[in-house]
Amino acid sequence: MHGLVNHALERFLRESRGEALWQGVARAAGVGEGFEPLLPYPPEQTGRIIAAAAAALHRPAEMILEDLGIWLVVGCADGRLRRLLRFCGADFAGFVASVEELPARARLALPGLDLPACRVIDRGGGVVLLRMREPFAGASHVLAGILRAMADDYGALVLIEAEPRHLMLHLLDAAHGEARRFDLAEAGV
Amino acid sequence: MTVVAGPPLGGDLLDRLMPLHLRLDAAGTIRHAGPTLARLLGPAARGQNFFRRFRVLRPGGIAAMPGLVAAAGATLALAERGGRGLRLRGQAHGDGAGGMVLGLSFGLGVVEAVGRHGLTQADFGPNDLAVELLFLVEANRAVTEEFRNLSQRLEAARLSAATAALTDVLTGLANRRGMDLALEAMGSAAFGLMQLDLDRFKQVNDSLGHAAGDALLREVARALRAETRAGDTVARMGGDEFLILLPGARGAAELGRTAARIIDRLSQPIRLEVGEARIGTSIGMVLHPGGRPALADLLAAADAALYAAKAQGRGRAVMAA
Repeated sequence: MHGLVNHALERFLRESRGEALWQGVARAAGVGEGFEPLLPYPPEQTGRIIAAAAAALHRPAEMILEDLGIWLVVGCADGRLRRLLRFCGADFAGFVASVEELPARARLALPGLDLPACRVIDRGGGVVLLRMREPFAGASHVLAGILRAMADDYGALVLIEAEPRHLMLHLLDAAHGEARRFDLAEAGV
Repeated sequence: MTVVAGPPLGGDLLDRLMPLHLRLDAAGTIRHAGPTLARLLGPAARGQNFFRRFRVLRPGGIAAMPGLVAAAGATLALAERGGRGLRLRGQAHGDGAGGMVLGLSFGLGVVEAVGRHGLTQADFGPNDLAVELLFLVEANRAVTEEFRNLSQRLEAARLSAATAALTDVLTGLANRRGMDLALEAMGSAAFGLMQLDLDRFKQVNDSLGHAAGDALLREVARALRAETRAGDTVARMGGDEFLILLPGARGAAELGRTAARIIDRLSQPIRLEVGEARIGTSIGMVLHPGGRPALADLLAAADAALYAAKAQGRGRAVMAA
């Protein structure tokens, strides 16, 4: 697994649940103290970290993964990922449609980073089915968290049902609240 | 070939597909600008002569309509005169009525342009990859920063590993390898060498234990560093053997004074946690006047001097002949 994924999990657990929890999870999962975001790691480590975090937090893995998805948008790296995601669509519907392109975008940004692919099927009437195409356990829950946080960012009201292999998204109101400001130009660069 | 004429093109079609286009009439007057360009140029642009508002940078030599018509299909580079100083690139094609349509974009300049002109996603046409380009620029910046962080962490690890490889773990002095490098670094400069070992170290080890022996070696290291200069290299070569490299041309008298200070200091009782240790030291010295040193010979001479010092009784320093 690309180190970036494990590194994100590590940062998420460290920053939202504290250093002590991360140390315990890392020990239980039998992984090192930290991950380098740009180096590869054995794929099975990711699953072990998630399982250890679920045990330590007494929460189902699905909930932790969804929280991770939300954190990726709102808490990670000064909102850098949120900015990159906002480039994907001018509004929330555009963003959802672009989820299919996410793996290609990820590879553009960082060759070697393979994100789980997903088919976006627009059922009409604001109902979108996102079908996970790869057996990457838990990817749909991370995506559900990302979609929830991004809906908030765009000011859209959505209902999301996450299943292991697919997501069902109901766009109830595209302009429910105020969208967060997004400037194409990065501030201070 | 039959050409099937479609329905007449609506006036806003180009606006939607190409928000950065310009329409000129046969006289070169700006008749219309796509919505993004219209906003950037301001209302005065409409009705203005294109060549008064823009300079055609490439192809060169185009200052009026006939030139622009002849350049149909060629890559254009434009610079706005005054205003925002826009830099645009694109292509001009005849509109079939003597006028021209210019499809334009910011090219790579878009990265700066979005910040300078406050552009949004809605300002770009559906086929313009500008927003994807901006995505890439930002993603690239983030990844580059991560690579820089990684390099810094690796460099710090490398430096500390390199330092560790040249350091005696117990005392923090140089080790044998560290001393070898320091000697090599002397080139053909003059230097002095002192070789010393401790008297009665074995007895301390035997009577107070190995932990006390280790503590004693650390105290000796501290004393040797205190009695030498910052530029001198003090190394523990193994066991209770030390070698000191003193760079610079120093006379036998100066080296002798340093040796006497070390002997005096190490003959004082050294307080350890488990008791007091009384040791002492003998020193063999050698001077290298400069020029390429025969290191093996110098070390052998220092060793022989140390042997002679010990033969004279404890607490002596002897200069190699």
